[in-house]
Amino acid sequence: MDRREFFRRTGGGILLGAPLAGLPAAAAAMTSPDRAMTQLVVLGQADRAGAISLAQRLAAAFGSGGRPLPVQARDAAALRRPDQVDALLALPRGARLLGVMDDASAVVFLAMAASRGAHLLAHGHHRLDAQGTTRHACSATACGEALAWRETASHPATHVENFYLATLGEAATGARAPSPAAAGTGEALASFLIRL
Amino acid sequence: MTTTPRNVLPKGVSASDFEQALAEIGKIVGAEHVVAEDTALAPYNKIMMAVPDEQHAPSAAVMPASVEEVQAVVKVLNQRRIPVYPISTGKNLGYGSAAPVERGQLVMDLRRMNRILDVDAELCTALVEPGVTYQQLYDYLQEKKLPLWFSCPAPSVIAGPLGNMVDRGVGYTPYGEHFLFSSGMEVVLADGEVLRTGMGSMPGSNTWQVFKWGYGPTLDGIFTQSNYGIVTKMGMWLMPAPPDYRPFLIQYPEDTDITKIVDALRPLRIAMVIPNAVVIAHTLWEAPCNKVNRADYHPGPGAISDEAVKKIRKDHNLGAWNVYAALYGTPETNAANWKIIEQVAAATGGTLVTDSTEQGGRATQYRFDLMKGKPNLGEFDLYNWRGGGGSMWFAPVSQAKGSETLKQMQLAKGILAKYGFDYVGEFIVGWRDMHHVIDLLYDRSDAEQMKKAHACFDELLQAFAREGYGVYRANTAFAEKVAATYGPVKRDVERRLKRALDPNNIIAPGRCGISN
Repeated sequence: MDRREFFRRTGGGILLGAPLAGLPAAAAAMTSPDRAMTQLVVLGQADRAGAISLAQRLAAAFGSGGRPLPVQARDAAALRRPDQVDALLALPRGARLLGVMDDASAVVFLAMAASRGAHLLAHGHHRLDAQGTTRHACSATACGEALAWRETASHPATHVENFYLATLGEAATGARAPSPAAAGTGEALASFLIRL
Repeated sequence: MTTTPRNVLPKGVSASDFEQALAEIGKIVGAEHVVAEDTALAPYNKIMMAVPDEQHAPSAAVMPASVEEVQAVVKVLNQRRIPVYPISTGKNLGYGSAAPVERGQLVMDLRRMNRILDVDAELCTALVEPGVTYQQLYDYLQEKKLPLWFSCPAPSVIAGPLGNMVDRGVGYTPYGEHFLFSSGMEVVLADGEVLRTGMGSMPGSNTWQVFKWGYGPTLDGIFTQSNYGIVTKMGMWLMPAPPDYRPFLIQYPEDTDITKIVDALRPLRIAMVIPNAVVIAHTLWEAPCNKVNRADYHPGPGAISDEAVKKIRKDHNLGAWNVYAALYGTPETNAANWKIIEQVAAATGGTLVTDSTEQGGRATQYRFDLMKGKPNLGEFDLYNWRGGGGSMWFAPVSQAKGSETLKQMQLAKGILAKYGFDYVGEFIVGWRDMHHVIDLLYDRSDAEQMKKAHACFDELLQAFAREGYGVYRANTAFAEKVAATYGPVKRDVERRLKRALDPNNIIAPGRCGISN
């Protein structure tokens, strides 16, 4: 997927100046997994409405046959407890986990996942301002530079979904979630995709 | 282990030489413990520092499982002059995390060396490897039902005692000066030789963990905040759990109260009535740890206003300053000392809080836990304050005198505000010193804020240095600049030591500004 294709699929948005050129190569470099064989877990922070909402969007995008993947919801306390993180990471080798949570929980969760040998494929940051515009900044590990764009409530897009799909070398086939992330004013969230 | 062409290489090393070295290392540690794939190396990228990722990108990572493997790997690297950056758990997030100090260094991740080798319940000592975490040690002591405590820093669940001590970190129990309460190190030198410091050098000695000094020059200090060797074992003293533990919080309403707080508490600290470091946290340190949403008080850009900070205090029952300390002893000694604490609080206009469920709430609970060495991650909520999770610790040291406090706070606040950042700080009163720890919080997903955060940190460093305040620790991006503030003679001696112990300059060149 190149820059032109990215916008064609997502219907626009305001790109903040980062190149997309590296993404197709990075995506192609990943072995496109057989969905039937490779498990994907979507995790959202239960005590952050915006996190659950964005997780649901991603779960819809990664679903198949119009059925979204289930979203596992855990509160911040659980996302920072080693035993509970261990339980969440008790997945088969090669399984992927897509998480959406606040910055603090994401730092802790990723630190614990890294200690258990997880690979970070991509990560993003999402901030809603007082005018209802969400600023997204996403970066694929194999690609380097971050992509940044803005999404308005009146013109919701699927850039985030497509970014994570592209990271895994997949095309959008899942169902579209009914509404954009309903984050609170000033809410900032982190997202990430890891492979175990 | 991948064999694809690498885009990050150690300085001065060809791709083919590096591939050969990795192949040799793979034979020592097992190919599965050599990592060179981008996505697997991601945990070794810089996290918090406000500089481009490329500046601290690792070339590869190796995970030895024993001191013998460390020796063998170091020999390969020394022969090929490949720089290596050793980490224990690599979780000093605000000071540089697991990322190498210079681009292309090979990370030696010691997390597989995670054995608690010995705990002597009578002498209250432990001997641990680099990969042991505080949580692991805590669980071990709980499981064995040993009434022993240790001191740990704020990110204690994921961090470890060896790395923290080597970086001269501090904690919150009476054993909070971690290097002071260490006893004995094992160090692999650049030529692969193994040194045991103190009594550890003597064959047959059983006093390695009880007598730090040995005979002749004490060498332990040169292996902290340095790059003269790779520390593979550390002895540490544990604290007998006191029969009575009384943590407390004293809240003060005004910023200017800080002067009298420090002057009132310093004598108690020096006399060890209060035996642990006294933390004096500002409102904005407490606020995120109490789930206050910054945008509710300051939705726009720039630094938060003083009026908004005052409103946060009122709305959430927070002090301008929030003093955390504890009494450790028997019920009788603590009862006697408690009267002193009550008198000091009353005389200085503070409100004493002893129940962690009262005002202060969550922040109080994690502080009370830290002061008894119970690992937690309560302080990580700081990363939610600004959004974007960027954090760099700026930590100048001063005398523990009230006259130092407002001066430092105003200096820092002015510089932070100039760049649009909030003053999120705390003073920590040690035995005679005081650490002023400021968390420069910024949005690391915003390139403009990254630039500002870097410039702000630089200005803080230079401005404080001009006033004679040196920092006690700093993130690796600023290692060179911080080292420069300490003057040329010290640096020259450090360089000469480096040439003597590591002539090929392979162990973390650039760490703490030390290089050949």
